Amino acid sequence: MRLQQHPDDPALREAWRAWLAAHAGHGAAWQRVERLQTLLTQVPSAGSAGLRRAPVRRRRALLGLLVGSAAASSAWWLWHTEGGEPLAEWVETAPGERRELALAGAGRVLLAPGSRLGWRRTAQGHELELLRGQLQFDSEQRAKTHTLTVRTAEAWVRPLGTRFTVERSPGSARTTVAVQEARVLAAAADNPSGQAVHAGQRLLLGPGGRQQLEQAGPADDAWVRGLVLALDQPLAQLLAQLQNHSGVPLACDPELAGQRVSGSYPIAPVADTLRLLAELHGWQVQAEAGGWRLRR
Amino acid sequence: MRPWTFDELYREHQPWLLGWLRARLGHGGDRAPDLSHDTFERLLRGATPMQALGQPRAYLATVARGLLIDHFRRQDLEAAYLAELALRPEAEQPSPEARAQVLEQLMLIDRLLDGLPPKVRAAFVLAQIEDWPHERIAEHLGVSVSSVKKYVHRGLVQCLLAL
Repeated sequence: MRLQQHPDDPALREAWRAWLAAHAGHGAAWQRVERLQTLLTQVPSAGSAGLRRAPVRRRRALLGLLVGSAAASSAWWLWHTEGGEPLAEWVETAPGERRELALAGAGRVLLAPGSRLGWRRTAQGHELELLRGQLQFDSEQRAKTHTLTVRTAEAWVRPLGTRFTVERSPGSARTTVAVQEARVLAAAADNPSGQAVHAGQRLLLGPGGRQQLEQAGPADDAWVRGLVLALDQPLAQLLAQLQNHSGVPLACDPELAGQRVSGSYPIAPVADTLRLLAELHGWQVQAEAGGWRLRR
Repeated sequence: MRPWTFDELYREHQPWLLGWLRARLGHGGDRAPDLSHDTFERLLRGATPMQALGQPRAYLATVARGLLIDHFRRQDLEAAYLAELALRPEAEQPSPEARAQVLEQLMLIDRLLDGLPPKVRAAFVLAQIEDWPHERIAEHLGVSVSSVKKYVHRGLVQCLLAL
């Protein structure tokens, strides 16, 4: 990458080293680097004049498909017994705590910190209900994965292959289904016909049946690999995610809270990650109340 | 709610959508039929079941709006590109196929850069596509060289994550 032409900037070099080290094991990450390099070198400079100026209005802001505050009112997601079906068992993870569940005949579920999941066995197979947080499902070999259904307030998901994540945030009444391998069938909660979501894609479902299919990225299941990926996020938000996944209290001074950060940050050891952030931006790290604080 | 079929939706709303698009396209109104077609194609391909469309026109307008943004943006990029090419000698002009390919690449990069603040975006494009040295970019944008380096890094991270 052209960045290597400027090795004299230690902070920049360190950030890149951290990013590459975190992704070195994944062929896909290197492919991206090469793809980007090819793309940038092939584009003639004559084309760049238009690129330099940002579009007048941003696509994301105008699509506005996911803004919503009304809670879903569909009744099925309130667990109840129907003629002898067993009640759900509930699993909850605290910040910093992960749980792994084995679903006999289907696969395993990895539950992220700060999640709440209901599970029950039915005649057809397994049903999972994700109230909040994130899970990653990995099917076992030769599993009959069609017998598993994952539900949230906004959506249902049925795997047709091996690996996907589902995230549900109650605050924004939104569900995100990202597929890492093979594909799943997913749809809005009250829509019986699902659409296929393939590896590399992500489906976002909001209230009122609104949904959007987009390209997935490494950020979706980064937590499984022990990383939080930040993309131009306010520092306070990144610290909140790191705190949730690590279980270590993290804070920053108010004037830093809105500072935008990007990069790939290891969840553990979180002290090293905070030191990296501090070095990149010229801040200080201070021990506080069993955790850490970033200040000027 | 009364269920719609695709045919009914098309018959009921396509003329309206055509007018809606023409009003927003101005001179380029001849593109309205194409964009209308693309909008309905999205509807057909899309996940929202047609029975659930309580407000079909609002939904169609939302989809069409997104397509319009892409359309205008593509026009801007193409116009700027052609204007630059016009300054170059006849012998260096690329074929229509080559031009079309460049335009696709520009649209892709544009999508990757979506959301970056203006100076970050400009710094990234000047450094990575036009090969300006950091000092020159810093002077041009009125920022420090270390800011330019941070902007370029940020642009790279965003592109890699978005690819």
